[in-house]
Amino acid sequence: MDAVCVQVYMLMAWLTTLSFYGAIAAYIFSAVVVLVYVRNGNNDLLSRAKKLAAFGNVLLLLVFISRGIEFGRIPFTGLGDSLNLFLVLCTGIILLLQREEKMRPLMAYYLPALAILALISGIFSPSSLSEAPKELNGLLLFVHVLLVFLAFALFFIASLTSMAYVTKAQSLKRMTSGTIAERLPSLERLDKVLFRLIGFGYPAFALTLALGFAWAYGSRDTLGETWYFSPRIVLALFMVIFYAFSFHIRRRGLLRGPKLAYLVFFVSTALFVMYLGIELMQIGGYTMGGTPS
Amino acid sequence: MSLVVAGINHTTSDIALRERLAFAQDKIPEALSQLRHRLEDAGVVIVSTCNRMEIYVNHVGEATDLLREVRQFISQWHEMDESEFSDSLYEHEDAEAAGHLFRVAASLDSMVVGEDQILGQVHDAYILAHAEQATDKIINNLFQKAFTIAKKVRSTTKISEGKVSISSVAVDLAVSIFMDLTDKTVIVVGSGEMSELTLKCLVDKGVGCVIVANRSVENAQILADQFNGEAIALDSLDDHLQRADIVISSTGAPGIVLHRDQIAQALKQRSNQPMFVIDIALPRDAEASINDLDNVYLYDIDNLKAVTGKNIEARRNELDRCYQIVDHGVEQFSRWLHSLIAEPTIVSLSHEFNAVRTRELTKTLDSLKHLSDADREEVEYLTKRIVNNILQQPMTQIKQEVHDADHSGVLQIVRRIFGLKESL
Repeated sequence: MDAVCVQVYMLMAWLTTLSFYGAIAAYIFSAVVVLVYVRNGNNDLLSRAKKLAAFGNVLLLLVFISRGIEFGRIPFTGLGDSLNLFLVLCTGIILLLQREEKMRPLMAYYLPALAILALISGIFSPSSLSEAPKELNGLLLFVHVLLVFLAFALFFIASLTSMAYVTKAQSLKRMTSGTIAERLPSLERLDKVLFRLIGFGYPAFALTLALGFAWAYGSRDTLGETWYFSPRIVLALFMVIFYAFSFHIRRRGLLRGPKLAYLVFFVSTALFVMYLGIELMQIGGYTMGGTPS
Repeated sequence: MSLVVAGINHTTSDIALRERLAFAQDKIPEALSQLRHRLEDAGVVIVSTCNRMEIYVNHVGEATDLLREVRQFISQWHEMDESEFSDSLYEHEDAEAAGHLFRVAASLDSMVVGEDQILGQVHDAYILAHAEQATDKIINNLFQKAFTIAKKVRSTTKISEGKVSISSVAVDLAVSIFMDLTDKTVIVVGSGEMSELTLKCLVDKGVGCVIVANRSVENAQILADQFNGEAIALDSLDDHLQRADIVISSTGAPGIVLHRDQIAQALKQRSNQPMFVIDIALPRDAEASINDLDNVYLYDIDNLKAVTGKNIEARRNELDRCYQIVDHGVEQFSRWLHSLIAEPTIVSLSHEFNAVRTRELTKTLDSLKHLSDADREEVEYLTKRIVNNILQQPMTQIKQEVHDADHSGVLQIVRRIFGLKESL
């Protein structure tokens, strides 16, 4: 009986590894297909790229579920697993956006970015999960981390959309033709999508900060007090202020259009890169949903 | 059997001749009837648009005789001497005629290459001829093939991408900036044919509110009334500019009418919502530095012409790919047309074999009276299968040979071998 269990376990591990690298390959292929689309404008390629990304998404979801079963808890710990969840959510949001035919050319901005993330995920592939204290396995933490990832995914897609906005606006100003910008949706639509993404991400992020505070306060015996000044917490607060500011100036009409799109892109990208750097260098009081250092 | 086309178009004749040779739509049924009467129930389609007049005919006999008849018919119908149009008339036969129609339907022969009107016009001409029972098997197949090829050219190449008129380019740009035009306001400054045309295109696309500004409010009112719009005096433009999502300017003023400060002020008042300024005046009405303002997109007549020029160039670059599709279609159609030559032989061959089968089957079944009805049906089905299997390879081969080699020789041999009586 034990031998059978070992064999099943090995088979599952093998299938998980296969799904993981299959997903990465699917994301890379989808990016290649979409880059060919940028060059020749054949719309059929967009639906192929979409299918490939959706396939990669399903495989990553299987990896996530499989690892959850393997370790008996939700696999948030470690950069590989974190990126996987992030990719799954990003792809989900993109697929939702692409339901409208007019939105499909935006994949030229989204899918190459996802392919780069998939490559990084491949380098830091999910390894064995470290044991976590029982305080870290509660529902509060699960909701907290899931909302963080969701908000980040929304902000990430918003920053890529802002880049598409800038490209479109510049193309209209410079009167260039024959580029991907021509195939993008209208500026007004891009602006609407951009701030709808931030509009969904912002409350999710604010809520998760509150949940995180409640969880950390409840677990202060385990975590200690150092997390208050963790670079991640500081960045999170900065993000809340920045997105509130960008909403405010847009609503008041103080800043609109390309300049605001540039601001969203650069600040979101800088924050994301810093966040990734913190995760890579393991700076701070704790790692994402994992064991406190 | 000959398939021919005779006609004139914008490249071979001037508008005066095209007007004289055009067929009024309500007279086409009568023209079809007269031509068919003249050519003893030939297959006929008349395509008559502002840029071309073409008559497609399929009939027995030599192509030269057929074309002469068509020329005479044109001459009589329009009460013109042949010499008045013969220099402008082009004539094509068989595969060339098919190729010509495929190019026309795919809009490769149009004044504006890739325009989408011609396919509808050719389709209407065919439907009318079909309704008048003026078409035959070959004409039907020819036109169906033309529609398929035209659709393929459109869907697989970029021949109809990018607008090629100033007004349609302006509308495309508006759609690139705004998500929905129905809640947008357009201000027309001055009046002119081009601004009116652009305004019409925008209104057709759904623009909700129109304001016309002119030095004379009475003149503004005339244009505004056409689009259920509002007329204002040019002096009060500043008060209304903040409402404008799109500004079309085409005054005859010698100096600048739209200043950067004016637009900047309007932009501030409308909370930096985007503005699209179309300046189609000569000399220009709008200060060029307006385009430096964020969220304002200024296009003058040269910019718009540059876009149409690029689009026309892009369409021309697609022509080779389109011609390949047309050539492939012509080859397929010619193959089918050739296979028709073998049709009488194939039909008689099939009749001959089936006659033998039926005769022998009757004899055999008469001597097998103990068989049940089900068994008899099974035996009959067996004989049919045997005959079909025997004939399948020769029939395919005959069609192939007819296309590849001297068909009359091949068909004569087949007829001699099997003793087929029908003449070629």
